Amino acid sequence: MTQSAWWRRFLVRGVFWRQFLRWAVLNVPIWLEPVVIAFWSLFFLLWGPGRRGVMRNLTAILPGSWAVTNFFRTFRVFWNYAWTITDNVRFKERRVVPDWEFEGSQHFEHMTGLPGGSIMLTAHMGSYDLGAHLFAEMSDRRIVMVRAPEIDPRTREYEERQQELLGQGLRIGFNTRAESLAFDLLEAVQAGEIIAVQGDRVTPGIAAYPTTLFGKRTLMPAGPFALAMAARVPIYPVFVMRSGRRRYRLVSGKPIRVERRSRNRDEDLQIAIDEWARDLEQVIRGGWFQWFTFEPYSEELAA
Amino acid sequence: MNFVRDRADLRWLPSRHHFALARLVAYLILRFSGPRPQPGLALVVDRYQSQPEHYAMAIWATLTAGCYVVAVLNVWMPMWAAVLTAIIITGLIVQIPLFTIGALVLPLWERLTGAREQRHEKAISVAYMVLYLLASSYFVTRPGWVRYVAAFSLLVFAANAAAAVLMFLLRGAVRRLEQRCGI
Repeated sequence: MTQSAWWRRFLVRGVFWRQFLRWAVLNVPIWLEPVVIAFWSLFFLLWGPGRRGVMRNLTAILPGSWAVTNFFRTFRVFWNYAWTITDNVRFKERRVVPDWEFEGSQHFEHMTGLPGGSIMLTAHMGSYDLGAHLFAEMSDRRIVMVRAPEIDPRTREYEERQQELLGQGLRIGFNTRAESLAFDLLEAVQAGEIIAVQGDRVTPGIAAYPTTLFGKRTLMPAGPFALAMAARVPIYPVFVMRSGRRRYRLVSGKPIRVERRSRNRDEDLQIAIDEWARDLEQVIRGGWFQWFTFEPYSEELAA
Repeated sequence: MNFVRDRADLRWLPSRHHFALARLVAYLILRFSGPRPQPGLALVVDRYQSQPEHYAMAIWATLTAGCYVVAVLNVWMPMWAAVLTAIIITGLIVQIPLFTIGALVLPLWERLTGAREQRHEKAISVAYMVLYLLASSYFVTRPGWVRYVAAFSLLVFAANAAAAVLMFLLRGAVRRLEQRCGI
């Protein structure tokens, strides 16, 4: 290990914080958790890029908001993030499940009751990880969760080892090799599996389409929509919102159907992506404190 | 995991609470309130699930520790400076036993005894309670406002002990009530 490498584990995305979180879940008395989480949420406000990213996003989500109040709102975002990742690790380590309430359960039941596959489209909101694990436990349908790999190689290795704690009902696919993953996902959805993917962020190398979110130009991943069009399956917007300590609300929206209506495939995809952007806007507007996007979502905000 | 469904009042199941005092309060609330239907709600029956209980404990622990820090610092600095310093450092001071016991003492003990245990939250929780009891027993003898804070903490400990006795005596009634609620 080079001398410059040892300290990387302590960077924000370094493996130390994952190990620390796991240690905390196994050792912190339950009644002390709010204090510990509040302290470390405050500590992470020192992470300048993350703090600034959230504050800039808030200026778009809440137009006219003041920087000083957005600073306190950023603490609320960090606080919620800390709770959701803690609940996620607690589920993986000890199978502790939160309280649940369902909103739009008819859409969720329709999705799980469909004979064929479908796509569950979510965002970096609430506990997307925990939601996927819970769906896998609650449903006999197999779920394939698509996610971007961790930036730090040690963190990526650590997370892959942790994924071995998953049961048979949940499989993880990483969107680094777009072409090969696309074929795998098409095969999976045609086999009746549910593909769970986050559709509010584009990673490098992934095909994207422009749309607007809170009046700012941004990019949305094209993959889920292209997959839905190719496989002729509906997309169900699903959000797992934290509504309190160990309490989550599963919000299921009406399905988005991606259909070939014209000869212009791009236009057909754009219709569906714009519909998704409107759904996302509505959810984020009511739950901005759970949208865990730590960099500006639009280049207009990054300037 | 056990779930109960579609009733918001079942948040007050005693089995969803940990400390005896919280279990007693929950039992009394559930006993004397009526059902509140909430379709689509699924509540886990787990003794660490109660939000009011754990936030109340966290607030009590932080405010009590903060008061003791102020009382100690006030010996060397004016009250306003002691309060300001306590606001900044209490969050860190509260975690010192956690890291000392959880990251140093217990792993060292396990290395010496050959025990292999990854989870120590119960041992650490007991250690915290002992520390709070000792600190409160000391500060209740000190002059000034801090003795009222310490007295309140000791009262909470005594009330919890009394509640534990009551819950033992009511165990049959609690079990019947929970069975009627579906667990």
